Amino acid sequence: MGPIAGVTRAPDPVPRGVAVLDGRAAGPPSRERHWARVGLGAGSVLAGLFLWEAIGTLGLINRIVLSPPRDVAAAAVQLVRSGELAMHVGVSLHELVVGLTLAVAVGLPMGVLAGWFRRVAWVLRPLTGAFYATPIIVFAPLMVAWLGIGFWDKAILVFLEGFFQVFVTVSAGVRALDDAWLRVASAFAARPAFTFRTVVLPGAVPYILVGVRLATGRGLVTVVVAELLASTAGLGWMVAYYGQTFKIANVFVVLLVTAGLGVLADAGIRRLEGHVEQWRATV
Amino acid sequence: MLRANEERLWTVGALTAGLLVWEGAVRTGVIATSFLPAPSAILRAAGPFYAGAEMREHLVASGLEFLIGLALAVAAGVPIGVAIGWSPCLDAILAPYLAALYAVPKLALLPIVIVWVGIGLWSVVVVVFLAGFFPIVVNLATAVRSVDPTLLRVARSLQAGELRTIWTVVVPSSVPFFLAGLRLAVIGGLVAVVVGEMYASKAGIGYLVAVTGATLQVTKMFAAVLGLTLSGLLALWAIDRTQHRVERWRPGRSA
Repeated sequence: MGPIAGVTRAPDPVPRGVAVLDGRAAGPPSRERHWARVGLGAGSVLAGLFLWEAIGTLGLINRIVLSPPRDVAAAAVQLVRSGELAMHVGVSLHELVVGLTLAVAVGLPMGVLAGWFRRVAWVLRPLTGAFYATPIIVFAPLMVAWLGIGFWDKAILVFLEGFFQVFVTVSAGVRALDDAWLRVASAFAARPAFTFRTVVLPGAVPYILVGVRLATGRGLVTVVVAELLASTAGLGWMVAYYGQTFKIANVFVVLLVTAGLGVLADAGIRRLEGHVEQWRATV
Repeated sequence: MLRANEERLWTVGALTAGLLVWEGAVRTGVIATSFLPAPSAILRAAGPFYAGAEMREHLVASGLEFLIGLALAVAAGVPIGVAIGWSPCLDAILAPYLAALYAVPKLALLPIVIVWVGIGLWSVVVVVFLAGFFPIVVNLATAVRSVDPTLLRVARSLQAGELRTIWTVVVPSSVPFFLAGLRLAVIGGLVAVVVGEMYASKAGIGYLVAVTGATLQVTKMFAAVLGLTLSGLLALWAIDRTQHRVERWRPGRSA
Protein backbone atom coordinates (compact mmCIF):
# COMPACT_ATOMS: atom_id res chain seq x y z
CA MET A 1 0.00 0.00 0.00
CA GLY A 2 1.31 3.42 -0.89
CA PRO A 3 0.59 6.57 1.04
CA ILE A 4 -3.06 7.48 1.14
CA ALA A 5 -4.11 10.34 -1.09
CA GLY A 6 -3.81 13.48 0.93
CA VAL A 7 -0.20 12.96 1.93
CA THR A 8 0.67 16.09 0.07
CA ARG A 9 3.06 17.85 2.36
CA ALA A 10 5.22 14.87 3.18
CA PRO A 11 8.66 14.61 1.54
CA ASP A 12 8.85 12.56 -1.66
CA PRO A 13 9.06 8.90 -0.78
CA VAL A 14 12.08 7.02 -2.02
CA PRO A 15 11.11 4.73 -4.93
CA ARG A 16 10.10 1.25 -3.89
CA GLY A 17 12.79 -1.39 -3.65
CA VAL A 18 15.66 0.99 -3.04
CA ALA A 19 18.28 -0.43 -0.69
CA VAL A 20 17.40 0.71 2.79
CA LEU A 21 19.46 -1.40 5.12
CA ASP A 22 21.74 -4.38 4.61
CA GLY A 23 19.62 -7.47 4.37
CA ARG A 24 16.60 -5.58 3.10
CA ALA A 25 15.48 -5.38 -0.49
CA ALA A 26 18.13 -4.05 -2.82
CA GLY A 27 16.82 -3.24 -6.26
CA PRO A 28 13.45 -4.60 -7.38
CA PRO A 29 12.26 -7.45 -5.14
CA SER A 30 13.48 -10.83 -6.34
CA ARG A 31 11.17 -13.67 -7.27
CA GLU A 32 11.98 -15.68 -4.15
CA ARG A 33 11.27 -12.65 -2.00
CA HIS A 34 7.92 -12.21 -3.71
CA TRP A 35 6.93 -15.83 -3.11
CA ALA A 36 8.14 -15.70 0.49
CA ARG A 37 5.85 -12.73 0.96
CA VAL A 38 2.88 -14.45 -0.66
CA GLY A 39 3.55 -17.58 1.40
CA LEU A 40 3.69 -15.67 4.67
CA GLY A 41 0.50 -13.81 3.78
CA ALA A 42 -1.38 -16.98 2.84
CA GLY A 43 -0.12 -18.76 5.95
CA SER A 44 -1.21 -15.91 8.17
CA VAL A 45 -4.68 -15.83 6.61
CA LEU A 46 -5.10 -19.59 7.05
CA ALA A 47 -3.89 -19.39 10.64
CA GLY A 48 -6.27 -16.50 11.31
CA LEU A 49 -9.27 -18.35 9.83
CA PHE A 50 -8.38 -21.48 11.81
CA LEU A 51 -8.09 -19.51 15.04
CA TRP A 52 -11.35 -17.71 14.35
CA GLU A 53 -13.14 -21.02 13.67
CA ALA A 54 -11.61 -22.63 16.76
CA ILE A 55 -12.73 -19.77 19.01
CA GLY A 56 -16.30 -20.16 17.78
CA THR A 57 -16.39 -23.95 17.79
CA LEU A 58 -14.85 -24.27 21.23
CA GLY A 59 -17.28 -21.66 22.50
CA LEU A 60 -14.59 -19.31 23.83
CA ILE A 61 -16.64 -16.42 22.48
CA ASN A 62 -20.37 -16.66 21.87
CA ARG A 63 -21.13 -17.63 18.25
CA ILE A 64 -23.64 -14.82 18.06
CA VAL A 65 -21.05 -12.21 18.99
CA LEU A 66 -18.33 -13.49 16.65
CA SER A 67 -19.66 -15.87 14.01
CA PRO A 68 -16.96 -18.32 12.90
CA PRO A 69 -16.06 -18.64 9.19
CA ARG A 70 -18.23 -21.75 8.71
CA ASP A 71 -21.35 -19.84 9.78
CA VAL A 72 -20.40 -16.93 7.55
CA ALA A 73 -19.97 -19.26 4.56
CA ALA A 74 -23.33 -20.89 5.25
CA ALA A 75 -24.96 -17.46 5.54
CA ALA A 76 -23.37 -16.41 2.25
CA VAL A 77 -24.74 -19.45 0.44
CA GLN A 78 -28.20 -18.85 1.85
CA LEU A 79 -28.24 -15.11 1.03
CA VAL A 80 -27.04 -15.71 -2.52
CA ARG A 81 -29.39 -18.66 -3.21
CA SER A 82 -32.48 -16.83 -2.02
CA GLY A 83 -31.64 -13.90 -4.29
CA GLU A 84 -31.90 -11.58 -1.31
CA LEU A 85 -28.32 -10.36 -1.63
CA ALA A 86 -28.61 -9.62 -5.34
CA MET A 87 -31.78 -7.61 -4.78
CA HIS A 88 -30.18 -5.39 -2.12
CA VAL A 89 -26.93 -4.99 -4.07
CA GLY A 90 -29.07 -3.82 -6.98
CA VAL A 91 -30.83 -1.20 -4.84
CA SER A 92 -27.54 0.19 -3.50
CA LEU A 93 -25.83 0.21 -6.89
CA HIS A 94 -28.79 2.00 -8.46
CA GLU A 95 -28.56 4.80 -5.88
CA LEU A 96 -24.79 4.94 -6.30
CA VAL A 97 -24.81 5.06 -10.11
CA VAL A 98 -27.51 7.72 -10.36
CA GLY A 99 -25.78 9.87 -7.74
CA LEU A 100 -22.41 9.53 -9.44
CA THR A 101 -23.86 10.31 -12.86
CA LEU A 102 -25.33 13.52 -11.48
CA ALA A 103 -22.02 14.31 -9.76
CA VAL A 104 -20.09 13.98 -13.03
CA ALA A 105 -22.75 15.82 -15.03
CA VAL A 106 -22.45 18.85 -12.72
CA GLY A 107 -18.92 18.53 -11.40
CA LEU A 108 -17.21 18.07 -14.75
CA PRO A 109 -18.35 21.26 -16.49
CA MET A 110 -17.95 23.29 -13.31
CA GLY A 111 -14.50 21.84 -12.75
CA VAL A 112 -13.43 22.63 -16.30
CA LEU A 113 -14.70 26.19 -15.97
CA ALA A 114 -12.97 26.69 -12.62
CA GLY A 115 -9.75 25.23 -14.00
CA TRP A 116 -9.86 27.39 -17.10
CA PHE A 117 -11.02 30.72 -15.70
CA ARG A 118 -9.27 31.73 -12.47
CA ARG A 119 -12.13 33.99 -11.55
CA VAL A 120 -14.65 31.17 -11.62
CA ALA A 121 -12.40 29.25 -9.22
CA TRP A 122 -12.22 32.26 -6.91
CA VAL A 123 -15.97 32.72 -7.01
CA LEU A 124 -16.64 29.06 -6.26
CA ARG A 125 -14.08 28.83 -3.46
CA PRO A 126 -16.53 29.49 -0.58
CA LEU A 127 -18.73 26.69 -1.90
CA THR A 128 -15.91 24.17 -2.27
CA GLY A 129 -14.50 25.23 1.10
CA ALA A 130 -17.82 24.53 2.77
CA PHE A 131 -18.04 21.14 1.07
CA TYR A 132 -14.50 20.27 2.10
CA ALA A 133 -14.98 20.99 5.79
CA THR A 134 -18.46 19.56 6.29
CA PRO A 135 -19.04 15.82 6.33
CA ILE A 136 -21.82 15.42 3.76
CA ILE A 137 -23.41 12.56 5.67
CA VAL A 138 -24.64 15.00 8.36
CA PHE A 139 -27.31 16.00 5.87
CA ALA A 140 -28.74 12.47 5.80
CA PRO A 141 -31.52 13.17 8.34
CA LEU A 142 -32.39 16.41 6.57
CA MET A 143 -32.54 14.66 3.19
CA VAL A 144 -34.90 12.11 4.68
CA ALA A 145 -37.07 14.94 6.04
CA TRP A 146 -37.04 16.71 2.67
CA LEU A 147 -37.32 13.80 0.28
CA GLY A 148 -38.59 10.90 2.39
CA ILE A 149 -36.95 7.54 3.01
CA GLY A 150 -36.25 5.93 -0.31
CA PHE A 151 -34.16 6.33 -3.40
CA TRP A 152 -33.55 10.03 -3.87
CA ASP A 153 -32.32 10.92 -0.39
CA LYS A 154 -29.37 8.52 -0.94
CA ALA A 155 -28.79 9.47 -4.57
CA ILE A 156 -28.61 13.16 -3.64
CA LEU A 157 -26.14 12.48 -0.82
CA VAL A 158 -23.93 10.55 -3.25
CA PHE A 159 -24.25 13.41 -5.68
CA LEU A 160 -23.11 15.96 -3.08
CA GLU A 161 -20.21 13.77 -1.97
CA GLY A 162 -19.14 12.96 -5.53
CA PHE A 163 -19.63 16.42 -6.97
CA PHE A 164 -16.94 17.83 -4.73
CA GLN A 165 -14.42 15.10 -5.64
CA VAL A 166 -15.00 15.44 -9.36
CA PHE A 167 -14.97 19.21 -9.25
CA VAL A 168 -11.71 19.46 -7.32
CA THR A 169 -9.76 16.91 -9.36
CA VAL A 170 -11.01 18.15 -12.73
CA SER A 171 -10.22 21.78 -12.00
CA ALA A 172 -6.76 20.78 -10.76
CA GLY A 173 -6.31 18.74 -13.93
CA VAL A 174 -7.27 21.55 -16.26
CA ARG A 175 -4.97 23.90 -14.39
CA ALA A 176 -2.12 21.42 -14.73
CA LEU A 177 -2.40 21.23 -18.55
CA ASP A 178 0.90 21.61 -20.31
CA ASP A 179 1.30 25.20 -21.47
CA ALA A 180 3.23 24.04 -24.52
CA TRP A 181 0.15 22.33 -25.97
CA LEU A 182 -1.94 25.43 -25.45
CA ARG A 183 0.72 27.55 -27.17
CA VAL A 184 0.75 25.12 -30.11
CA ALA A 185 -3.01 25.44 -30.37
CA SER A 186 -2.88 29.22 -30.30
CA ALA A 187 0.05 29.25 -32.78
CA PHE A 188 -2.21 27.37 -35.18
CA ALA A 189 -4.88 29.97 -34.54
CA ALA A 190 -7.27 27.41 -33.09
CA ARG A 191 -10.56 28.83 -31.96
CA PRO A 192 -11.27 28.44 -28.20
CA ALA A 193 -13.98 25.84 -28.80
CA PHE A 194 -11.58 23.79 -30.93
CA THR A 195 -8.75 24.09 -28.41
CA PHE A 196 -11.14 23.06 -25.72
CA ARG A 197 -12.26 19.94 -27.58
CA THR A 198 -8.85 18.83 -28.84
CA VAL A 199 -6.49 19.90 -26.03
CA VAL A 200 -8.28 20.65 -22.79
CA LEU A 201 -10.77 17.80 -22.65
CA PRO A 202 -8.38 14.98 -23.67
CA GLY A 203 -5.76 16.40 -21.35
CA ALA A 204 -8.18 16.34 -18.44
CA VAL A 205 -9.35 12.75 -18.99
CA PRO A 206 -6.92 11.15 -16.50
CA TYR A 207 -7.99 13.63 -13.84
CA ILE A 208 -11.63 13.02 -14.59
CA LEU A 209 -11.05 9.32 -14.03
CA VAL A 210 -9.23 9.95 -10.75
CA GLY A 211 -12.13 12.14 -9.65
CA VAL A 212 -14.66 9.47 -10.58
CA ARG A 213 -12.63 6.81 -8.76
CA LEU A 214 -12.45 8.84 -5.54
CA ALA A 215 -16.13 9.74 -5.85
CA THR A 216 -17.07 6.08 -6.33
CA GLY A 217 -15.20 4.98 -3.21
CA ARG A 218 -16.72 7.65 -1.04
CA GLY A 219 -20.09 7.33 -2.72
CA LEU A 220 -20.31 3.64 -1.84
CA VAL A 221 -19.61 4.44 1.81
CA THR A 222 -22.19 7.23 1.70
CA VAL A 223 -24.87 4.92 0.26
CA VAL A 224 -24.22 2.23 2.85
CA VAL A 225 -24.15 4.67 5.77
CA ALA A 226 -27.27 6.50 4.58
CA GLU A 227 -29.06 3.16 4.28
CA LEU A 228 -27.81 2.22 7.72
CA LEU A 229 -29.41 5.37 9.14
CA ALA A 230 -32.78 5.15 7.37
CA SER A 231 -33.91 2.87 4.55
CA THR A 232 -36.09 0.00 3.51
CA ALA A 233 -33.61 -1.84 1.29
CA GLY A 234 -29.96 -1.96 0.26
CA LEU A 235 -26.66 -3.19 1.68
CA GLY A 236 -26.74 -0.72 4.58
CA TRP A 237 -30.27 -1.80 5.41
CA MET A 238 -29.10 -5.43 5.56
CA VAL A 239 -26.24 -4.47 7.89
CA ALA A 240 -28.60 -2.62 10.21
CA TYR A 241 -31.36 -5.22 10.10
CA TYR A 242 -29.17 -8.27 10.66
CA GLY A 243 -27.10 -6.40 13.23
CA GLN A 244 -30.21 -5.57 15.23
CA THR A 245 -31.49 -9.14 14.98
CA PHE A 246 -28.10 -10.53 16.05
CA LYS A 247 -27.43 -12.43 12.82
CA ILE A 248 -23.80 -11.42 12.81
CA ALA A 249 -22.84 -14.01 10.18
CA ASN A 250 -25.16 -12.27 7.70
CA VAL A 251 -23.66 -8.91 8.61
CA PHE A 252 -20.18 -10.25 7.87
CA VAL A 253 -21.35 -11.46 4.45
CA VAL A 254 -22.77 -8.05 3.60
CA LEU A 255 -19.60 -6.28 4.80
CA LEU A 256 -17.45 -8.58 2.66
CA VAL A 257 -19.65 -7.93 -0.37
CA THR A 258 -19.48 -4.17 0.22
CA ALA A 259 -15.70 -4.25 0.55
CA GLY A 260 -15.49 -6.44 -2.57
CA LEU A 261 -17.62 -4.02 -4.57
CA GLY A 262 -15.41 -1.14 -3.49
CA VAL A 263 -12.22 -2.97 -4.41
CA LEU A 264 -13.67 -4.08 -7.76
CA ALA A 265 -14.83 -0.60 -8.72
CA ASP A 266 -11.50 0.88 -7.69
CA ALA A 267 -9.52 -1.70 -9.68
CA GLY A 268 -11.77 -1.29 -12.71
CA ILE A 269 -11.35 2.47 -12.87
CA ARG A 270 -7.60 2.14 -12.24
CA ARG A 271 -7.39 -0.16 -15.28
CA LEU A 272 -9.20 2.42 -17.31
CA GLU A 273 -6.69 5.00 -16.09
CA GLY A 274 -3.91 2.65 -17.22
CA HIS A 275 -5.42 2.39 -20.70
CA VAL A 276 -5.66 6.14 -20.95
CA GLU A 277 -2.03 6.50 -19.88
CA GLN A 278 -0.93 4.01 -22.54
CA TRP A 279 -2.72 5.97 -25.18
CA ARG A 280 -1.08 9.18 -23.99
CA ALA A 281 2.39 7.68 -24.15
CA THR A 282 1.97 6.83 -27.85
CA VAL A 283 0.76 10.28 -28.90
CA MET B 1 0.21 41.43 -4.05
CA LEU B 2 -2.25 42.93 -6.44
CA ARG B 3 -3.24 39.48 -7.65
CA ALA B 4 -3.76 38.23 -4.12
CA ASN B 5 -6.01 41.20 -3.45
CA GLU B 6 -8.01 40.61 -6.59
CA GLU B 7 -8.43 36.98 -5.65
CA ARG B 8 -9.65 37.86 -2.17
CA LEU B 9 -12.04 40.40 -3.64
CA TRP B 10 -13.66 37.84 -5.93
CA THR B 11 -13.90 35.18 -3.21
CA VAL B 12 -15.30 37.48 -0.55
CA GLY B 13 -17.58 39.13 -3.10
CA ALA B 14 -18.96 35.77 -4.22
CA LEU B 15 -19.47 34.67 -0.62
CA THR B 16 -21.32 37.87 0.21
CA ALA B 17 -23.41 37.70 -2.95
CA GLY B 18 -24.27 34.06 -2.33
CA LEU B 19 -25.35 34.72 1.24
CA LEU B 20 -27.40 37.74 0.15
CA VAL B 21 -29.17 35.75 -2.57
CA TRP B 22 -29.89 32.96 -0.10
CA GLU B 23 -31.17 35.46 2.49
CA GLY B 24 -33.27 37.23 -0.13
CA ALA B 25 -34.75 34.01 -1.49
CA VAL B 26 -35.90 33.00 1.98
CA ARG B 27 -37.22 36.45 2.92
CA THR B 28 -39.25 36.78 -0.27
CA GLY B 29 -40.61 33.30 0.22
CA VAL B 30 -38.99 31.70 -2.84
CA ILE B 31 -37.56 29.12 -0.44
CA ALA B 32 -39.76 28.07 2.48
CA THR B 33 -38.19 28.73 5.89
CA SER B 34 -39.12 25.25 7.02
CA PHE B 35 -37.08 23.91 4.10
CA LEU B 36 -33.97 26.04 4.30
CA PRO B 37 -33.69 28.87 6.85
CA ALA B 38 -32.02 32.20 6.07
CA PRO B 39 -28.33 32.53 7.03
CA SER B 40 -29.18 35.35 9.44
CA ALA B 41 -31.72 33.10 11.16
CA ILE B 42 -29.11 30.34 11.51
CA LEU B 43 -26.61 32.75 13.02
CA ARG B 44 -29.21 34.19 15.35
CA ALA B 45 -30.21 30.70 16.46
CA ALA B 46 -26.61 29.58 16.90
CA GLY B 47 -25.90 31.95 19.83
CA PRO B 48 -28.54 30.75 22.31
CA PHE B 49 -28.24 27.23 20.89
CA TYR B 50 -24.59 26.92 21.85
CA ALA B 51 -24.93 28.92 25.08
CA GLY B 52 -27.62 26.59 26.47
CA ALA B 53 -26.76 24.28 29.38
CA GLU B 54 -27.99 21.24 27.50
CA MET B 55 -25.55 21.98 24.72
CA ARG B 56 -22.55 21.60 26.99
CA GLU B 57 -23.49 18.00 27.63
CA HIS B 58 -23.63 17.25 23.90
CA LEU B 59 -20.34 19.01 23.20
CA VAL B 60 -18.59 17.17 26.04
CA ALA B 61 -19.96 13.82 24.83
CA SER B 62 -18.82 14.33 21.25
CA GLY B 63 -15.49 15.82 22.27
CA LEU B 64 -14.72 12.92 24.62
CA GLU B 65 -15.62 10.29 22.05
CA PHE B 66 -13.51 12.00 19.41
CA LEU B 67 -10.45 12.54 21.60
CA ILE B 68 -10.43 9.09 23.22
CA GLY B 69 -10.90 7.38 19.84
CA LEU B 70 -8.20 9.44 18.18
CA ALA B 71 -5.78 8.96 21.08
CA LEU B 72 -6.29 5.20 20.93
CA ALA B 73 -5.80 5.26 17.15
CA VAL B 74 -2.49 7.09 17.56
CA ALA B 75 -1.36 4.91 20.47
CA ALA B 76 -2.01 1.72 18.50
CA GLY B 77 -1.37 2.98 14.98
CA VAL B 78 2.08 4.47 15.47
CA PRO B 79 3.88 1.39 16.86
CA ILE B 80 2.08 -0.98 14.49
CA GLY B 81 2.81 1.25 11.50
CA VAL B 82 6.48 1.56 12.43
CA ALA B 83 6.77 -2.21 12.97
CA ILE B 84 5.14 -2.97 9.61
CA GLY B 85 7.34 -0.49 7.79
CA TRP B 86 10.48 -1.78 9.49
CA SER B 87 9.95 -5.53 9.18
CA PRO B 88 9.05 -6.93 5.73
CA CYS B 89 8.16 -10.21 7.46
CA LEU B 90 5.59 -8.60 9.74
CA ASP B 91 4.31 -6.63 6.77
CA ALA B 92 3.73 -9.85 4.81
CA ILE B 93 1.89 -11.42 7.74
CA LEU B 94 -0.39 -8.45 8.48
CA ALA B 95 -0.92 -7.16 4.93
CA PRO B 96 -3.97 -9.34 4.11
CA TYR B 97 -5.78 -8.28 7.28
CA LEU B 98 -5.01 -4.62 6.84
CA ALA B 99 -6.09 -4.74 3.19
CA ALA B 100 -9.37 -6.44 4.08
CA LEU B 101 -10.17 -4.11 6.96
CA TYR B 102 -9.10 -1.16 4.89
CA ALA B 103 -11.63 -2.04 2.20
CA VAL B 104 -14.55 -2.39 4.62
CA PRO B 105 -16.33 0.89 5.28
CA LYS B 106 -15.57 1.32 8.97
CA LEU B 107 -18.88 3.09 9.61
CA ALA B 108 -20.78 0.03 8.41
CA LEU B 109 -19.28 -1.86 11.37
CA LEU B 110 -21.48 0.19 13.73
CA PRO B 111 -24.22 -2.45 14.19
CA ILE B 112 -21.58 -5.10 15.03
CA VAL B 113 -19.70 -2.74 17.31
CA ILE B 114 -22.94 -2.10 19.15
CA VAL B 115 -23.51 -5.82 19.60
CA TRP B 116 -19.98 -6.04 21.02
CA VAL B 117 -19.76 -3.03 23.31
CA GLY B 118 -23.32 -1.72 23.59
CA ILE B 119 -24.82 1.66 22.72
CA GLY B 120 -23.07 4.61 24.32
CA LEU B 121 -19.77 6.40 24.56
CA TRP B 122 -17.69 3.33 23.76
CA SER B 123 -19.50 2.29 20.58
CA VAL B 124 -18.67 5.70 19.11
CA VAL B 125 -15.11 5.60 20.47
CA VAL B 126 -14.50 2.27 18.72
CA VAL B 127 -15.72 3.61 15.37
CA VAL B 128 -13.57 6.74 15.70
CA PHE B 129 -10.62 4.50 16.54
CA LEU B 130 -11.21 2.34 13.48
CA ALA B 131 -11.57 5.37 11.22
CA GLY B 132 -8.36 6.93 12.53
CA PHE B 133 -6.23 3.81 12.88
CA PHE B 134 -5.78 2.97 9.19
CA PRO B 135 -4.53 6.26 7.79
CA ILE B 136 -2.01 6.43 10.65
CA VAL B 137 -0.75 2.86 10.19
CA VAL B 138 -0.48 3.14 6.41
CA ASN B 139 1.26 6.51 6.51
CA LEU B 140 3.74 5.46 9.17
CA ALA B 141 4.60 2.25 7.34
CA THR B 142 5.25 4.31 4.22
CA ALA B 143 7.28 6.78 6.24
CA VAL B 144 9.54 4.10 7.67
CA ARG B 145 10.07 2.53 4.23
CA SER B 146 11.11 5.86 2.79
CA VAL B 147 13.66 6.91 5.41
CA ASP B 148 16.78 8.28 3.74
CA PRO B 149 19.05 5.22 3.29
CA THR B 150 22.16 7.36 3.88
CA LEU B 151 20.98 8.19 7.38
CA LEU B 152 20.40 4.52 8.10
CA ARG B 153 23.91 3.67 6.88
CA VAL B 154 25.35 6.40 9.07
CA ALA B 155 23.50 5.01 12.08
CA ARG B 156 24.74 1.55 11.23
CA SER B 157 28.33 2.57 10.82
CA LEU B 158 28.14 4.33 14.18
CA GLN B 159 27.12 0.98 15.67
CA ALA B 160 23.64 2.08 16.63
CA GLY B 161 21.36 -0.78 17.62
CA GLU B 162 18.04 -1.40 15.91
CA LEU B 163 15.90 0.26 18.57
CA ARG B 164 18.25 3.20 18.81
CA THR B 165 18.19 3.63 15.03
CA ILE B 166 14.40 3.57 15.04
CA TRP B 167 14.22 6.12 17.84
CA THR B 168 16.86 8.57 16.55
CA VAL B 169 16.53 8.25 12.77
CA VAL B 170 13.26 6.64 11.75
CA VAL B 171 10.88 8.37 14.16
CA PRO B 172 12.03 11.96 13.53
CA SER B 173 11.96 11.54 9.77
CA SER B 174 8.46 10.03 9.99
CA VAL B 175 6.88 13.08 11.59
CA PRO B 176 5.57 14.68 8.38
CA PHE B 177 3.94 11.39 7.33
CA PHE B 178 2.47 11.03 10.79
CA LEU B 179 0.94 14.49 10.62
CA ALA B 180 -0.47 13.79 7.16
CA GLY B 181 -1.97 10.58 8.55
CA LEU B 182 -3.31 12.42 11.59
CA ARG B 183 -4.97 14.91 9.28
CA LEU B 184 -6.84 12.12 7.53
CA ALA B 185 -7.61 10.50 10.90
CA VAL B 186 -9.14 13.77 12.15
CA ILE B 187 -11.34 14.07 9.07
CA GLY B 188 -12.40 10.43 9.29
CA GLY B 189 -12.85 10.65 13.05
CA LEU B 190 -15.18 13.64 12.81
CA VAL B 191 -17.39 11.80 10.35
CA ALA B 192 -17.27 8.73 12.60
CA VAL B 193 -18.38 10.70 15.67
CA VAL B 194 -21.31 12.20 13.81
CA VAL B 195 -22.45 8.99 12.14
CA GLY B 196 -21.90 6.95 15.28
CA GLU B 197 -24.09 9.34 17.24
CA MET B 198 -26.67 9.60 14.48
CA TYR B 199 -26.99 5.84 14.31
CA ALA B 200 -27.42 5.17 18.02
CA SER B 201 -26.80 7.44 20.98
CA LYS B 202 -28.45 9.65 23.53
CA ALA B 203 -26.12 12.63 23.35
CA GLY B 204 -23.67 14.48 21.14
CA ILE B 205 -23.64 16.72 18.10
CA GLY B 206 -24.56 13.86 15.76
CA TYR B 207 -27.53 13.02 17.95
CA LEU B 208 -28.62 16.67 17.81
CA VAL B 209 -28.24 16.79 14.02
CA ALA B 210 -30.29 13.59 13.67
CA VAL B 211 -33.08 14.75 15.96
CA THR B 212 -33.32 18.31 14.62
CA GLY B 213 -32.97 17.18 11.00
CA ALA B 214 -35.58 14.46 11.23
CA THR B 215 -38.08 16.78 12.95
CA LEU B 216 -37.48 19.62 10.47
CA GLN B 217 -36.06 21.98 13.11
CA VAL B 218 -33.90 23.09 10.24
CA THR B 219 -32.53 26.26 11.81
CA LYS B 220 -31.17 24.36 14.79
CA MET B 221 -29.82 21.62 12.54
CA PHE B 222 -27.83 24.06 10.45
CA ALA B 223 -26.55 25.72 13.63
CA ALA B 224 -25.30 22.31 14.78
CA VAL B 225 -23.71 21.61 11.37
CA LEU B 226 -22.07 25.03 11.45
CA GLY B 227 -20.44 24.21 14.78
CA LEU B 228 -19.26 20.92 13.37
CA THR B 229 -17.76 22.53 10.28
CA LEU B 230 -15.98 25.14 12.38
CA SER B 231 -14.51 22.59 14.78
CA GLY B 232 -13.31 20.52 11.81
CA LEU B 233 -11.65 23.56 10.26
CA LEU B 234 -10.07 24.44 13.61
CA ALA B 235 -8.62 20.94 14.04
CA LEU B 236 -7.18 20.92 10.50
CA TRP B 237 -5.76 24.41 10.96
CA ALA B 238 -4.04 23.31 14.16
CA ILE B 239 -2.48 20.33 12.38
CA ASP B 240 -1.32 22.49 9.47
CA ARG B 241 0.29 24.92 11.92
CA THR B 242 2.07 22.08 13.68
CA GLN B 243 3.19 20.70 10.34
CA HIS B 244 4.62 24.07 9.45
CA ARG B 245 6.41 24.47 12.77
CA VAL B 246 7.79 20.94 12.82
CA GLU B 247 9.13 21.26 9.29
CA ARG B 248 11.19 24.38 9.99
CA TRP B 249 14.26 22.64 11.36
CA ARG B 250 14.54 20.24 8.43
CA PRO B 251 17.55 21.14 6.29
CA GLY B 252 16.90 22.02 2.67
CA ARG B 253 13.16 22.47 3.06
CA SER B 254 11.83 25.95 3.07
CA ALA B 255 8.19 24.94 3.42
